[in-house]
Amino acid sequence: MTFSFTPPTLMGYRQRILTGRSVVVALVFILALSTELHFSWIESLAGAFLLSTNDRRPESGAIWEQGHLSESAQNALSQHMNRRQDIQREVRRAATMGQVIGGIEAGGGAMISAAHFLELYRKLPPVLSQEIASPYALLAYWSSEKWQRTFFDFQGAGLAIYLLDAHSQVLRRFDIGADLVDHIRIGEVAIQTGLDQLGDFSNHIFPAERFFAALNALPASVREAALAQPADLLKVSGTIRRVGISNISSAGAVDLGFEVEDAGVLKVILTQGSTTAISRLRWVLEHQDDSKNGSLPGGETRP
Amino acid sequence: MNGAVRLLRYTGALCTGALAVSGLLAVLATVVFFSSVGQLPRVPEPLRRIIETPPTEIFAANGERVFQIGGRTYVSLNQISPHLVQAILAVEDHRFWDHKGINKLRILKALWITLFSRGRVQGASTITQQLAKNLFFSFERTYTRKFKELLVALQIETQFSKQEILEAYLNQIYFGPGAQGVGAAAQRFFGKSAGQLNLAEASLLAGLPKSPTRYNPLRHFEQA
Repeated sequence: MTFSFTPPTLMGYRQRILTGRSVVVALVFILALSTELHFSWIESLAGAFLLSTNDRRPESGAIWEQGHLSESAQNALSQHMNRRQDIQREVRRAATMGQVIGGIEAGGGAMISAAHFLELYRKLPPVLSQEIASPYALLAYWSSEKWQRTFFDFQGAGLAIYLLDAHSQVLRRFDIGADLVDHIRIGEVAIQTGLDQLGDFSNHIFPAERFFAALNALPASVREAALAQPADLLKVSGTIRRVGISNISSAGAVDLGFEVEDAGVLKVILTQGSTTAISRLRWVLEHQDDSKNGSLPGGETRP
Repeated sequence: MNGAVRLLRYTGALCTGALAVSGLLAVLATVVFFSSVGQLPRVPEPLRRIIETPPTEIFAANGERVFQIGGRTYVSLNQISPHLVQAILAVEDHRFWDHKGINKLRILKALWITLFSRGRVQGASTITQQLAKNLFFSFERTYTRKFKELLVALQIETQFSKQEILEAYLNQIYFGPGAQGVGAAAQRFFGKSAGQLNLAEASLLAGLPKSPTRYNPLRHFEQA
């Protein structure tokens, strides 16, 4: 079978191949192929076209994603650092231990110098400072000159306080419970109840007016030893109704309980005074009572 | 009809068929090219911007640097030993200075081997294609990925000089764990800078990218 368009002879083929159109097509094809092989103009054209669309294309692919991740990680790190620096700045300016603790975020920490810590420690009511750390222990570290900085670290609701040396080695760690942290934060030890519910004070509860009159009757040095930070009591919202003296003396100190009535709610604020000073205060209170009201020996009020 | 006429007829039919297939492939390539353009990743300018990553440094409160995470030092081409450059080019792409992103003859050869030799797969990636793959694409082996990689390689060749491409390639190539880029690799394996490598060291390093695990000189010195 032969196709009708197939030339039957060589002459016929020659006539078909050597037409002007065929020669031009063949030449163009060969020229395009050889120049492409030599100059790679198709690649250059495609590359130039792709370059012209570059700005409209997405920032996708491994290296872009890595770049975006790295950028967002650096932003997060930078934000974290700024926040930490703010906290650190605030903490360095803190005037009370409560401000230090209030400035630290949950899960975070803050550093202050040893001298700053001692300054804030001294401002705390003794009942609180004694609970944080013994002043004898602090004195030992302070005098050794190893203790340079103090790091506060929130751990859950509690707080860990680390005494650090110049190389950030931990000299001592103090753990503070959640309740004590709250007390330090508000700067007082307040128990949400009345004095009558606290067994330690059951035998020595006095009206506030009488207590402060007796306190004022004492020499200044004894007064200070009995109530070191009277200004703290002035800051309390509500009215002090009664004062209790604890039956128990511990480490040369006795707890005092100031019963405050605020909007019909009773709370007791605890402070500590030296045992000697409180004994003198009690003696004055009892003798005031004897001299003014002989029918009530001991001077205590009855609930 | 004599033999010569028959031969001419068959040759003509073959040429016509080849032309038709070539034309069809060209049309198909053009369609795929234009439909792929929108999906291609943007190529950054300059290339080193995305390879050069600053490290994250952690400092203690007393100002002492505790440690460093990540970060890569970019090494300029003129700071890299010529031995290493030549060795890498010889192993990876000896026609690098001549082509425009793809090596057509090598592609045809690879295609032929892949199609007609069972079980054998021949690679034909140029350094530019490898750079495009390493920067933008995953390691999945699909024809779509390969085609996109080829297009990005063409753009990279148009956008940057050969020196810039080679420099970027040498700075991101993986030589093994903790040794990405020639600077890190020279430091890790020989404890010196990339510019101080001698011929033997450069030859050893140049072989590593083929199989960073198998040829790791710290673990398989003989094979390396």
